[in-house]
Amino acid sequence: MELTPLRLRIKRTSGWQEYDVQVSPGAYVLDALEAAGAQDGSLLFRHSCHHASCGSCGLRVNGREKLACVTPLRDVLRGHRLVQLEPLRNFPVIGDLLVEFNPFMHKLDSLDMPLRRRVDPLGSRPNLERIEEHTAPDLAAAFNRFENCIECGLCVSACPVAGQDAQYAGPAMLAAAGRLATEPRGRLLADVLARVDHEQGLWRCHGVFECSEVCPANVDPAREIMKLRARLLGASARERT
Amino acid sequence: MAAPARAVVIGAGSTGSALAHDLSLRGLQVTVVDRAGVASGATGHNQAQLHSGARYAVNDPESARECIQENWILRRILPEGLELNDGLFVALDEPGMAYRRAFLEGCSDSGIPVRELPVEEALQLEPLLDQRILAAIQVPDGVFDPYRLCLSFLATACRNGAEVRTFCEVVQLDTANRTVVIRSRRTNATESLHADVVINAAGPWAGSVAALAGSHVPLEPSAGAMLTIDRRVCNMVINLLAPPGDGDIIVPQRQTSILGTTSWKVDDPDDIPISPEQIESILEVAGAMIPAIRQARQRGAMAAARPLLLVEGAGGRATTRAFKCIDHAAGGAPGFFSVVGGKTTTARLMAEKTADQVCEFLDIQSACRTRDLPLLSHRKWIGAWS
Repeated sequence: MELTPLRLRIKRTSGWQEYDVQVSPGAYVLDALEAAGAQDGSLLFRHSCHHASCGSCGLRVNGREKLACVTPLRDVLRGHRLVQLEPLRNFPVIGDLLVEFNPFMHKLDSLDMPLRRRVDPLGSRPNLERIEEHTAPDLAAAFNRFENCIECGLCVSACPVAGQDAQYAGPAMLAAAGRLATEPRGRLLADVLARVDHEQGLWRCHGVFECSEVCPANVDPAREIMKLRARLLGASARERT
Repeated sequence: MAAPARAVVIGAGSTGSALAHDLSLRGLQVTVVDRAGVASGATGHNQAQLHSGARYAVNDPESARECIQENWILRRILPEGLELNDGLFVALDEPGMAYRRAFLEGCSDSGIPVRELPVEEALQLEPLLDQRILAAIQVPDGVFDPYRLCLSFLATACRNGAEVRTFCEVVQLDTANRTVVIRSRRTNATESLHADVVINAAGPWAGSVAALAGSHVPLEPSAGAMLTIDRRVCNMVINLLAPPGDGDIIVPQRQTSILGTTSWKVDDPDDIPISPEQIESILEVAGAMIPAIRQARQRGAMAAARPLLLVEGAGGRATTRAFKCIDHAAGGAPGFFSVVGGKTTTARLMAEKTADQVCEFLDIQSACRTRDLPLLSHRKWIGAWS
């Protein structure tokens, strides 16, 4: 197999460092990163599933939030030989590309959200090849799914508000609340709304939509936030009349 | 009261994570060490199939029985970590139909419930299947998130006092002095851990860990390549009704489908290249079951080394998925154990059997409690990075 040489420029805790690696033609950013890791055992990064389900390999590739495992190098190289990798923003950096997820997980966990959901035949981005479009609704009702959110943190990294205010609930948690409001799974709707209807919640979002832009799982957090706002505004308008 | 016995578990994959949970419940003070992050090896690069055991029912009945038993247990202890839509074995040709009888008998012998569906019903449940399928048999397969499975085991273990040291490499294993020396990849500092017992759960790397103690494990790493596509093409896990072969399982997960696997012997679990021929062979078999796969966009490709137990005379597919816990006392390393083989589906059972041996060695009277105790959410995991 013919290998392609390329250079990784990685923002480490100690400063920028470059690695020359060789990868196969169909390789992904994570393959290049693992090749750099094989050269330098002190280089720190997370990875697990290699198919965009564990959410552990999020980073910034040429300044943009990506999952290293499903980002083809050819898409980010575009004829060049250099790729720049940085840790996610808006998370404390533990070392190199490793970031601290505990406060992020704590926010998600505070919703106490059951993660298994019904099959949703009308996904946020219709795609006629999806099995959901082909399965009769009465049969689909017997099937279940994991929530689409893989908790990778890309949306939080891309959010300009999360960068200024660590207290902000952030797009992932607000999107989860939106999903729970749509399908409460035994939770009380009023409790779910109370957790996000405050200054550091829904109303802190500036509507930049970067979260939806970078989401690798079609969760569309901005849309969930706007839907929740509409719901709460509608409720308050009804109370006044 | 005496201080609790200290155990060091090497490897934070499914086996090591389940072991940390089991041993903590039995009152040991556990430290898990991994050279990288949680589930960054064979467990992470896994097809994510919660096995019913049906795949092994004909050739490997022991593994089949273990799979179905553990499948029921995981449904109890990890309800939030599973997509439970069952699995379907489909026959595409006459050889597949000829395999049908042995398959049904094997499932029956192993206690795996099956339901043979009329083809018409199967095609309603799975409308993207090739319309020419000849038979369809439903089994209780499922789908999990291997990473979250490990985090749930570890979160629960940590709640019970365990400690996890990721990004720390074992550099010295001195069983005579009950000492494990680790080096942090973050700070480069070394640290000496006292260990009454050391358990090697390093998966395909178990051989190099055992070598640190001058011991040997009967391991035959077998690589498997998998391919992910950008859409979900089935509701259930789709398996080819035939003796296990390459690319004959389609595991749907969220909005993707994971196709695989291939199987070949590897010497170095750190270096597994995937050739275009392998990708093509996976697409060929999976595409024969669900033609829409041919039109889908590839979203990722991965390979992992399965830490298979070496059985003399077997090899590759024929090698058993069974596991073994090895006490290295006979090899001159008392208090050192290795657990090899098995599957992520049977990780809890591997931990139970290993913990039984460890407790016997330490003369600790404590029964396994992991069969019924629900695990904490993966979100309760408090990462330890030092």
